[in-house]
Amino acid sequence: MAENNLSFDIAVIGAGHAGCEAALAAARLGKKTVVFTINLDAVANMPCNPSIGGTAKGHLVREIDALGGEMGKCADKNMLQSRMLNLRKGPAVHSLRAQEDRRMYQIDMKKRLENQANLSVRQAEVKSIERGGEGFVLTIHTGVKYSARAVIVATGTYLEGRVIVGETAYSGGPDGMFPSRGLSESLERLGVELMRFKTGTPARVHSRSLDYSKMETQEGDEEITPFSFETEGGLTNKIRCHLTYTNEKTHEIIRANLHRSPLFNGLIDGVGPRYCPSIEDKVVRFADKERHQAFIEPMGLDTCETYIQGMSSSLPEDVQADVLHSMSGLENAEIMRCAYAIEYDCCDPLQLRPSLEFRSIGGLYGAGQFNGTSGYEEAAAQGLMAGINAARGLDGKPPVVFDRSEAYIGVLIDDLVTKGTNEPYRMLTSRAEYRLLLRQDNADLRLTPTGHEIGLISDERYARFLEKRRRIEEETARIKAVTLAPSAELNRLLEEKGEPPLSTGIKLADLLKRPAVGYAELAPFDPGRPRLGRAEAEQVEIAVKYEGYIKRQFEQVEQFKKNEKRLIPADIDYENIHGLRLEARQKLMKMRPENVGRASRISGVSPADVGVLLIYLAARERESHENS
Amino acid sequence: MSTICALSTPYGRGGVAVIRVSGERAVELTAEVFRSKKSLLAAESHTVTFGRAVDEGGVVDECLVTVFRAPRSFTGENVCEISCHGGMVGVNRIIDALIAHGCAMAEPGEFTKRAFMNGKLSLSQAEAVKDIIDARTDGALWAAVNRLEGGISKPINEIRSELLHLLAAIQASTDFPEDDVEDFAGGNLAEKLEGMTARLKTLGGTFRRGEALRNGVFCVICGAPNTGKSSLLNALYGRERAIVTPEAGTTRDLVEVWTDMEGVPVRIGDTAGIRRADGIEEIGVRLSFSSIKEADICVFVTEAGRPLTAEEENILASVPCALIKAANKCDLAEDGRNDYLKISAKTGFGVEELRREIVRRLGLMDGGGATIANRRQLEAVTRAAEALERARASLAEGFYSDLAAVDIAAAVAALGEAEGISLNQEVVDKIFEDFCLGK
Repeated sequence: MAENNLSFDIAVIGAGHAGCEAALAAARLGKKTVVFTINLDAVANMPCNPSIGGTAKGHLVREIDALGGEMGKCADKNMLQSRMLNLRKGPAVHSLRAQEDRRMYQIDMKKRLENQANLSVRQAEVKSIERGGEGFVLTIHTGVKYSARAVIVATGTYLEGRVIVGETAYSGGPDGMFPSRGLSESLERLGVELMRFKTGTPARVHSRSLDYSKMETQEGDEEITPFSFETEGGLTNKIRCHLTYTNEKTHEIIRANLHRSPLFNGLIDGVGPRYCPSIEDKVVRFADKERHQAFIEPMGLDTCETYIQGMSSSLPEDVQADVLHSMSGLENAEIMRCAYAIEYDCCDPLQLRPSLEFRSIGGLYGAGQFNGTSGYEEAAAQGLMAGINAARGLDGKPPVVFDRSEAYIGVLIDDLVTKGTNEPYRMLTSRAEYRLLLRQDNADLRLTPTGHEIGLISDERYARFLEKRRRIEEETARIKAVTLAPSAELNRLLEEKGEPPLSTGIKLADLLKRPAVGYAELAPFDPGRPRLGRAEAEQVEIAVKYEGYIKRQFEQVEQFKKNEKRLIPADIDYENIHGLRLEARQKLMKMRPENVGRASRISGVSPADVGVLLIYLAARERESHENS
Repeated sequence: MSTICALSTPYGRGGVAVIRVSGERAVELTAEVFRSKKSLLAAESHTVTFGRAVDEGGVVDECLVTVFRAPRSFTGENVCEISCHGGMVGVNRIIDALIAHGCAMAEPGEFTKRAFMNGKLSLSQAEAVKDIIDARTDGALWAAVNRLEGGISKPINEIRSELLHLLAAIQASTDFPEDDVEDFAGGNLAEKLEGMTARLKTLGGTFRRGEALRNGVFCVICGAPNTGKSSLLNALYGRERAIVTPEAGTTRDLVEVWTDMEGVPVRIGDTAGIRRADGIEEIGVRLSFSSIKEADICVFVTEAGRPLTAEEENILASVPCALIKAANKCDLAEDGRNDYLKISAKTGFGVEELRREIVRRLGLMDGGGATIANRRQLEAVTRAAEALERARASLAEGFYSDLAAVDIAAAVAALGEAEGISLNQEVVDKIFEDFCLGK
């Protein structure tokens, strides 16, 4: 049995983006927590690219923040450049992305872990996990044993990691770290089924070797929206990014060397992500495309290392150099770290409950890339939920589970645990059916009350939130009641916008429904307007302008909730339901979905199977009715 | 699951009756009530065996038993179909014997339900089965069979997959704003949406024919006494049905027949000639007026070669529905009116043309394509068309393509529903409520 100081409520294996959120959440919820990392200098590392957010990912960061997670705060603090993507589209798909000072982010996040009460941070490689004591016994590389009542596995790409560059392959973790070896085997002994995924990173080059004059410049936003609802503002862009392109010569070099690529020579068997293909993948699969983009992103203010984003590759290093040198502005690029692919073990997430606890191993949770996802934000979101649910599990409280209409986090986890994934899963706005409701701008309105209830949002922050919500609601009600009289100035404004002028008075809200008319520019005609913050005004404008769409989406949600609310009794015997096709029966028996909605989303369960299930449930209810 | 049996053909009519037995023990149980040279138990799937149905009282009937072995049967289970003579006494004795040996009486709709549950039928196919059984004409039967074979699926699935393509395109540019994904130009997208909306509406329009095929339409022949209405009814029906006399006012109650016009089942009502009358004839006239009110279409009959009487003008003015004016007795007199169809109920001249005109005027001509045959599908297709119109409208107003995508997604979901791709509890309940015994 472990000594008292080696005995914890919750142990987190890994201190990447998932592990950090999991450890912080568990500790903040009062659990004595330890987080293990193979190297304390690799906490919250960003090996793949030095940015946080992006389409749908930005939504996740806002949601993490709305629930009391850390990523958004840390990202705001260490931001180098910020852009709101998709501004030419509707508010639902506006997505925030920030270039980060990668090293500063790591140092900052490590400090946040160090300063957290109830949390021990430990450099150690966990070699095995076994059942024992009140839960699990973890043995680290030195042979020391720790005990924990619950364990969260957040091993990222370290688990039996294997790095591949061209014809060279070796056992290794990301960014020159050691891999985790042996843990996989003990997880399998516990009954965890593992898969093998692959991901890649681009080369990093010395900034002085680049000719920026031959590239396009990408500026940050003038007015920066922070990730965290707690960040007061005052953020400024500190750098510029650049954009260059591949060309026909680049593609020729790649094609001529394909036989040396491990993806094509059989050295890699892990499954890579489709949405983030290596440059050789792009050239092969989209042969008719004349050029591909490459983004030049600085790694930080105190370093010359620069990422060539969009050029992830596992070609041999000499080919990588030729490829880069063929591109405009990169003719003399000096490679500091070459691009590599990495293969790693992860679990099949179909084994998980929506709480991220293993169905068959109580107290064991998975989070992040270990669950088959990719991306820092996806990892952090799961880490937060695993941390929350592990803590609640120890307290005998029900897990916090968001459905698909409540949060991107809900969509992410629902997809993972009901549909599974056969490639590293990335969050996309198109995966969220109800994305008009799940906007990044309203994440606090959607989730902060839950965050407060869980205990990760302080009373003080919650009071501020309630005040914000009240002001939004009052102002929305006011502009629905206020009538604007036609005036020469107002009509001039409307004509400028290409809108028909007014001849009679109009409700302010109705005027705002015209796509070209904004809330802010109507201020001169609206003397009764209260002073609102930018985010508050934005909520008012969106609520009114898109009212019809939002209402229709709510109707769709209501339909969706019907099947979600139709619970499947835990003791259901699928063997006894006649008419289910074999595949559906097997899947349902394996996954034991909590409700009909979830059952209907399992791949291999057809609408006909759902019909059979519904009929069976109805008959069962009728019987129990008759018997009672 | 129990083995079930029921009469599959309509109760009490027809020269041949088919009793269907379905379930794991279908062949064994049928063999218990069936004597043949070759044992039924050895019969291969999709073969017919001749023999005699027997019960405790002895031989009941000579019959043919067709054996279908699971899963190659309608229900996906073992199935026997016993074809016997149509008398209800015999049929009941066979069913009683089957039940005595362990069969259960099928619940309404249970065969179809089992077929649906065994994955043999999609939702709309399950509905089509009901329609086949209720079909009154070849056209109705054809429409139902077409649907059973997935006929309606094709146009709906085509539109659905095109919409999915559009959605994918819009969402790709949304999810990867920095990639060179071609953003949909609003105009181009709007145009595509418009085309698809029109196709959905056309498809929705076929519902009228579909509904007419299932329920039939009501055509009333009206006119002054003795203009030959009853003769016309007989001519349209193809046989003597109404009593025809030279005496005006012979028809006093409503005579109704079912006939097939261009594949559409049409109920034709002959009315008492409308004139001032008293007694029994007056009741007939009153009935005439009330049936005109219920009619989908009226054929007003007058005599060729003479102007309308004041009474006839009154009748014309009282017709609230689609109207075809026919000048009868064209074999006796010329008629110069352009808006009158020239017919002779007596010689049959113009009667075919009248039949076609009736169907045409009702907008029920066979388009040759798939037909939407039930309200659930119509509702879903209409909902999809509305969603696409909203999508187009928001693009026209200058809203973003990703907002239009919300409505396009709704349309895709609605079309999925029409094909049973997405299901919910009510739909399932409703369909199985509608089914009748043994089908």
